[in-house]
Amino acid sequence: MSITKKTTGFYWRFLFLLLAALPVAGGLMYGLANSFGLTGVLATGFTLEHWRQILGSGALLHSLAYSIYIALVAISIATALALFLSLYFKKSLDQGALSYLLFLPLTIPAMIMGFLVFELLTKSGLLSRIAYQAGWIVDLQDFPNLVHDSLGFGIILAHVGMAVPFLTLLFHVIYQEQDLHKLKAVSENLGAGKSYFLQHVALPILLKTAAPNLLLYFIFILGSYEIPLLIGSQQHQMVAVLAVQKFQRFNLLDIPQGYAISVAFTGLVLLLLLLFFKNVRRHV
Amino acid sequence: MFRKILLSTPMAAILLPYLFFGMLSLGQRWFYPDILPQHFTLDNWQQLFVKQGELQIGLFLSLILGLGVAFLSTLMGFVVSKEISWAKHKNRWLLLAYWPFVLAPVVLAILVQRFFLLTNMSGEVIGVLLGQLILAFPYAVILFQSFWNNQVLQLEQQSLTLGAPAGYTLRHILLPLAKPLLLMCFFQTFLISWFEYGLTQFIGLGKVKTLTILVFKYVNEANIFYAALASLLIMLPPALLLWFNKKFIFRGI
Repeated sequence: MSITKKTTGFYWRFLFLLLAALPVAGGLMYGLANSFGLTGVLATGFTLEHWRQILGSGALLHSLAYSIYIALVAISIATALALFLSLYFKKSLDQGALSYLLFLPLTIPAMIMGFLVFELLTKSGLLSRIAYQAGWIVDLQDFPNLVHDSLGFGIILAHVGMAVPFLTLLFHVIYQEQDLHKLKAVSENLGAGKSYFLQHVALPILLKTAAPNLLLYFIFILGSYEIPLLIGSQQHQMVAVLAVQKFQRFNLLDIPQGYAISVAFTGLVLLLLLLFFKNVRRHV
Repeated sequence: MFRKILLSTPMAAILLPYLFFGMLSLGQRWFYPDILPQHFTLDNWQQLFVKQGELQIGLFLSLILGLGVAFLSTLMGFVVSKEISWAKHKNRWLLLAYWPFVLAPVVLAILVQRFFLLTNMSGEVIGVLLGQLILAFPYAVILFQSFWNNQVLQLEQQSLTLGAPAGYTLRHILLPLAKPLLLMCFFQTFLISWFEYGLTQFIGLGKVKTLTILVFKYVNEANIFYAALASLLIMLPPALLLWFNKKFIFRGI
């Protein structure tokens, strides 16, 4: 390889580091330094005070627990629905309207899904109006709290709505790539019933192959911002909303706490990924 | 019959956002408990054609940013992914490309915001473009890794060995081979920018009002008719392109 080519290669790799790796690494370092009082407007030197405050108040742990709850419930429901759709409507997914239509929800970003769920489920939303016209409720106050509720029903529904089409397509592709139809024929020849094939062959293969994608989607929901911002509860906040709120307050002392929350969240995500891939490597 | 009824449920759910936002974007005065707005008009859509109107500028900004991010990340991703595929520690370099996706975009925005403030790029279109590139560029690098396989690298080597200049090899061998992937990368990185909210809001400081920023603004102002219209403007272009060729656009997602 010529020297010129080597130099050009070096510049391209440097550009990659500059645009892809440095902002993340630099941002994390800055966030960590700020959370320890080493930098920032009101920096006074190394202190654990900001970490003590967010851990002591329980806000971070509460928010993390709430985020994990939302992500776990949403991904579980979405996985169950997607498995049902991909297995029950396999022919419609191969050909027919559903094979086209299922791609459409992929063009709906989180912000719009949050807005849609809000307009459908709020007390004056479309469902409440239909319930009123049908005579199921006599006043809009009779309609249950489905958004801004502490159980996060609206947030979960919005995430399920976004995840189901994606996961259905994923399971459908895995079904084809793993030649599950051939395995189905073999198991039927050997006398196994449909439910046996589903329980002992199809579901384990689909779930195991999709595990990395399910984990990444879990992490995506864990760090979601737009949906909980629009339809989340005031009492329980997801991590990203809590972190941003610390930055948007007028008290400058809250900013290092915002950085601490961001760093802690990143640490949690990295730990999750590390544990997962370590586990995968052990079983390979 | 039961199967058909069951199948119609997900299909109706998929079409609901388009129909519902379509109805709201044409509506005025939607008082409880009416199911439909009291008045249907094209007034909201006409705002799109008002010169220097907020929606028009938002659409224009989203387009400029989307095309800019897509062009730069596709171009740089194509070249850099080749360099990485040649690199000694290829997997380590690739691991770095996954970094930005570990963080939630809004958390990433919080962490990098300081650098944009220091360089006076906060609140500027160029700052938002660079911010969005932090996500789109590594995505393009990852996407092109599947292209630079041994067969392609050997073809390139063969062409160079036979005396073809690098430019000729690029134009007549590599680019035609990579064309489908280049188009797919362009569209997908365009979508990353088109849908982006967190980085745009934080780095743009609310001054760079793309369509996603406008949706949130209109929702906050309880202007659901404009919010629905802006939502449709975000959803329709990718949906229409998808209609023409779904496999081309979403292959590999």
